Amino acid sequence: MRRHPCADHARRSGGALIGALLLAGACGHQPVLPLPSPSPSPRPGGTLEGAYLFRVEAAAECGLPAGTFTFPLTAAPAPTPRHPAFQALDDPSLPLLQAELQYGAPEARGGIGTTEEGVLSREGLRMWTRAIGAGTVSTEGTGPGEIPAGALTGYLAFAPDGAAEGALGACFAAHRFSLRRR
Amino acid sequence: MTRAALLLASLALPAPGAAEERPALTVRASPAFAPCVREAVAAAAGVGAYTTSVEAGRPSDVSGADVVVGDDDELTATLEGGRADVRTALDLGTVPWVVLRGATREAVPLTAAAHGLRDVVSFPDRRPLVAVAAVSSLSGHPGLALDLVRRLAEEPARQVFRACVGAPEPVASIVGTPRVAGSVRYAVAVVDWWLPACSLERNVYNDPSLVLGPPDAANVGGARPFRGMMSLGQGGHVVVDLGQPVVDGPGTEIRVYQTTSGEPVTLYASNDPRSGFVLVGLQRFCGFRTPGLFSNHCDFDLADAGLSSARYLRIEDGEIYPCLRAGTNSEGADIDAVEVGQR
Repeated sequence: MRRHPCADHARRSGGALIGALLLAGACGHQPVLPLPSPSPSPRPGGTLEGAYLFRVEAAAECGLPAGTFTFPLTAAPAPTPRHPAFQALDDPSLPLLQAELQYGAPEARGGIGTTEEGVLSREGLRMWTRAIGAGTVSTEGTGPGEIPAGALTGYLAFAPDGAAEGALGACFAAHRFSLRRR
Repeated sequence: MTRAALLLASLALPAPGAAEERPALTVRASPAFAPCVREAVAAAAGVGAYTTSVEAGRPSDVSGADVVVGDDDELTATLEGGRADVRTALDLGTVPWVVLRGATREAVPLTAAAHGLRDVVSFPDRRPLVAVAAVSSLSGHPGLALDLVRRLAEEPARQVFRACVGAPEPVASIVGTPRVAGSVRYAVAVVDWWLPACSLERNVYNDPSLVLGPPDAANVGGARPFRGMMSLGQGGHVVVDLGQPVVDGPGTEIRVYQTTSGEPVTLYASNDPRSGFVLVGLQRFCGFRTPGLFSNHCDFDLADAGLSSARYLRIEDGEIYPCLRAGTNSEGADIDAVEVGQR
C-alpha cells in the first residue's frame, strides 16, 4: 500500500520549508507555519547615547498649553567618579536646554533646565523648565536606551516665540516627559 | 557690626564740602526698581560728598556703574561671580507681583502699574521681588558707593522706597524667624551626594562635608571668596544624617541655610538612608535673611510631606540652570548647613 504522501512528508526530515507548506496545504491540513518570533519586550537598562526626541507634557492641573511638545536632543554618557550619568543637549555648541541625569540602571534622575531664552519646540511654542526628571530606562532590541515615561517635577512655562517667559502660563508640578530615540 | 559697616569703617570718605569737584556716582537698577530707587537715592544722597544719577538697566552689567540694584535672582550670578561685592549687598525693600486690570494673566511687578493699586486686580501667590543693592567691582569710588548703599538701606530712604512702591500693608518680609537658641541641632554625617560631571568640572565648592555642623559660611575675599558651603551644581544633591530623627511638631522643623542670594532648594525626607524619600518642599525660595549670619535660609515642615519623623534629608538644587551656560564657579544652591529644631 502506497504511503500517503502527507504521511511520508511528516516523517521526512530536513524538507524545504516551502515544499512543506505546499504539501501541507495539498494534504488538507492547515499549514504548520513557523510562528514568528515574538516582539522582544523592552529590557530594563541600556545606554543613553545618540539622537533623541525629548517630549514634554504639562500637568493637567496647571492650565498650560495642552498636548506634547518636542525637542531634539543629543545624549552622551557623562559619568562621574561616584556614579554613572548621562548628559543631553539641544545644541552642544550653545545649549539652551541641558539635562544632567545620574544613572543607576535602570533608574535615571537629575536636573533638566533651560536658560533665560527658553527653547523653541517643534510645535512652535517656547518652553522654559527647571525641573528634576526621573524615569526608568529600557531598551528594545539592539537599540540604545530610552525613557518611555518619566516625571518632570518642577517649573514649566510656555510662551509664543518672541513673548516673555510664562506668557502662556507657568507652573510648579509633576509634569510628564519621555526620551525616545530618533 | 553689619558687614557693610565694617567695610565702611575701613574706607576713607572725603570731607563734605571739600574744595575738589564732587565725584558722580551712577546707580544702575533693573526696570522694576528704577523709579523707586530714584526717589530713594534723592532722599539718601544728602551728605554732599558726591552727586548721583540713576539709570534703568541690567544690574548684571556692572560696567559704568558704581552701585547696582536688582532682585535676588538677577544678582545671584553677579554677586557670586564677584562682579559686585557680596560683602556690600544690602536689602532696600520688596516689590510684590500683581495682575493688572485688562492685562493677560501674566503677573508684573507692582511698580509697572501706571496708577498703582487702582490698576491691580489680584496679588498672585508669588515671592515678592527683593531689591538688593551692592557696590560694583568696577566702581571708581568704592568707598562712596558703599556709603550710598548703606544710606539706601536705612531711613529715610527705606521709607521713601516703600512709599513709592505703594504696596498694601503688611509689606511682604524676607526676614525669617529667629533661630531658637539651645534647641537646635545639625546634620552630623553625609550619606550620599551627587554632582553632574559638568558641575564637578566648573564649580570649586564641591566638598559635601561643609554642609555639616552649624552655619559658618562667609565671604573671605580673594579668588575663591566663599568658605563653609557646598554648591550643588545643576540638579545635584546631598543626603545628610541627622543622627537621630527629627519629629514633626507645630510649625517648621527644618531650616536649610543657603548662601548669597535666594537660590531655590528642594527637600526630601526619609527614615532610610537610601530609599523612601518623600518630597517635603519643591524649589523653595531659600533667601530669607538670617540676622547675624552670612547665609540666608528656608524652612520646611515635615507635615507637608505627611511625615511624623525623618532621620535622613536629601537637599537638592532647585535652581537647575544649564551648567554649560553658567557664569560662576558656584552654580546651583549653595548649602551652608542643615538645622533641625522647633520654631
